[in-house]
Amino acid sequence: MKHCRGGTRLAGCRAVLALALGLVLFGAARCTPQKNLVPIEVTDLTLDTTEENAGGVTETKSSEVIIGGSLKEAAHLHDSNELLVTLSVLVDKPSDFKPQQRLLTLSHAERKTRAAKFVGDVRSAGEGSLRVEFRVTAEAVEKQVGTLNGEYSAEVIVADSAFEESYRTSFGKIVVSHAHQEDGSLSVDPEPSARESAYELRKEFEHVMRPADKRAPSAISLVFAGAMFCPLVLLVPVAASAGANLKKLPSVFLSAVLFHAAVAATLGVIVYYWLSLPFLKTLPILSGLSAFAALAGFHLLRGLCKEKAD
Amino acid sequence: MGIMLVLMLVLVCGQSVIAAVPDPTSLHQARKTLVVLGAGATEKTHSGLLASLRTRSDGHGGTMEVVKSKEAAAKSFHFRKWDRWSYDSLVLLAPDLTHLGGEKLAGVVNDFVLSGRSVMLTGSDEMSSEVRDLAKLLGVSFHESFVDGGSKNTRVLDFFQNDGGHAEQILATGYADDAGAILSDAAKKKPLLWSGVGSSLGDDNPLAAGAVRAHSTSFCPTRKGFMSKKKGMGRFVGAQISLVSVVQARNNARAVVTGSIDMLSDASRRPETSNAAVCEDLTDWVLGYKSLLRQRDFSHALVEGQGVPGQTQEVYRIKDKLRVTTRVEEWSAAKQAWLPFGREDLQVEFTMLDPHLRKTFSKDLQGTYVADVTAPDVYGVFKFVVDYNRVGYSYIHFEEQVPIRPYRHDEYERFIVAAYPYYASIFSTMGAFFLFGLSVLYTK
Repeated sequence: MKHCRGGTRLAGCRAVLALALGLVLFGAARCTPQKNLVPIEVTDLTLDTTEENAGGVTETKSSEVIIGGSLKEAAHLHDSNELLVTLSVLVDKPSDFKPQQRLLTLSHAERKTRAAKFVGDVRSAGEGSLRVEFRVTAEAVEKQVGTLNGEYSAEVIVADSAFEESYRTSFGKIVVSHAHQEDGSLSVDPEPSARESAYELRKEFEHVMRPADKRAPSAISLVFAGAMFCPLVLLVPVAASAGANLKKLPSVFLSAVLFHAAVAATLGVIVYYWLSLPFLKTLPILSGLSAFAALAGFHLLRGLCKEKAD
Repeated sequence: MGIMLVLMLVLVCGQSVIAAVPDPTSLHQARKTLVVLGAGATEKTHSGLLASLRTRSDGHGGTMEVVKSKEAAAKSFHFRKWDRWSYDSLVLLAPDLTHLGGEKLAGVVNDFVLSGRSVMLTGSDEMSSEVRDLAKLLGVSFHESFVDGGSKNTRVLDFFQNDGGHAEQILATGYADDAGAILSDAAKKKPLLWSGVGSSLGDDNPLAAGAVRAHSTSFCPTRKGFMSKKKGMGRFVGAQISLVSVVQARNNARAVVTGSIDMLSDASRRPETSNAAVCEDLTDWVLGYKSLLRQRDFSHALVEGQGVPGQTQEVYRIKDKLRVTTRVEEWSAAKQAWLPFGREDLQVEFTMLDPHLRKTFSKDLQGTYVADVTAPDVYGVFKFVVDYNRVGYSYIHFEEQVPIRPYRHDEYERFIVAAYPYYASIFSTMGAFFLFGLSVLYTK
């Protein structure tokens, strides 16, 4: 009996062990083997500027090996030259190997959403060595971001899933200038896209009122206003020297006072109308005054005629 | 029998009266949400998201229904019946879905959005052509490059900003600068773990924006895994790739489109990633729990000019100083109330064909937006235009017509110093006439 119990226990332990071993083997089989990642070394990051000469031959105007990760001064790209960015990648891979990502990005310094991208070409430079080249032209930049002049930050990436550590570096500034468009007109920066302009705060502005009419200085106007009274002032002595007098006045004094008062009142009403009196109120007053002035004037003239006859 | 008929009549009439009364709260906050689960999403793999949705839906006075894609695709499923929608928001966690309620997915969901309702659309590397077409209708173009005999789309790769060296598991930090309208500041503090199919947004579409963009080192590979040199593929490289896109239609319907259903899964919700917070913010936004605005109480009054100061007039005069006020409120789903809007970038334009002036409102102590403007010296029929357009916030567009008249004949400047010589000449003439009359009449 005891022997039977011990045997059962042993069989049970064996079953458990077998199951555990099976699980371990199953887990090991499912484990993905670690990918073999290779180290890379990037050397000779160079920027060449090429230009076509008068004979139509492309020649290298300048060549700079980028040391310390940055250009000494900004490179220039315009309509008549080309930039060639090259680098050597030392990697333990067959000669026909091509990294998955070979990218040169030029990002505009101010309008950050505008960036031109170039995919590099690869050629073998011997065993375990690749040469990656990026050809940058102003025309290619224009096709991607329009005639956007200004400073661009340059970044180059060479990456692959097989690399232990992919390569990425920003190597300085490139100033792009598009001088003229195809129709000969000067190039201008492209307008912001619908999305760039849709959400931003718009510029405030006020309506510019029409400028006031030019007027003479106040002093000159006052001088001329004073001058306007000179003839009036001169009228009295000139009239007196010409023989004017008031000898006939006493004989028709009452009529004269009434008549001239009516004339003065008429002139006064006209001044009052100019100041504030409404037109439809002015007319009845003037009508009354003119009727009175006519009557008084008639009596005055009759009196003067009577005196003359006498 | 007669009593029964009367009761039925009362019920029917009562229902129609109730239906006619508009919802006093937001017309756009989701009240009935439908969640469709398909390939890549189950109640187990996306339990965190579903629980979060249900909690918020229940807390904000709504309901949520979860159905499987097979059931949702069937004709018997009433998504739309007799041109009436059974739901007011839709969360599609079913990249393989092709039909909804017996109708083609792209068409029916497009109509859904056109009716002012919101949708959250998730894709994957095995998404159906209907999901792609629907995304395109919303202004989002998914990258197309297929492997495995055309059954799977390639995923976005990033060899630099990724999780544990896996280029397809991107740690994205390219959050939109939306001032918290969509993604909160807390969500932006950590990277978003994202793996899926990239998309691009057309530059000429101002309605769509990238809530989360890829890094400059990311790219959508060809089927062989390389960067494409083809013309036009530049939009699937670098920061132009949109990982999570948001669309606010002109009728203020909202859509969120992403090519990664894994982003919403429980496996992505880790302490070092912001997936949980981003998912909550995105669903809050698309379901109308945040960033909904309404404008009311627009008024204008004279400050200085012809008329009574402080009074609203039907017609103003040129060069009058006017004060414009309005109130803008933001919906708070937590409080189920409209609260004063906090931002200070609201502008008003005074327009006749073209804007003649544009001014930014300032806020007074009561939270009312106030702007003082001067009417231009051009007369005509103008209008005050308030046009508010910011990423993540619903649009506000309001216009009010205001005629501006020129000066009347008696409102011009008088007694101008430059005219004094003319006044003097007239008075001088009057005086001369009077004196000359005297001399002519009485000279002997």
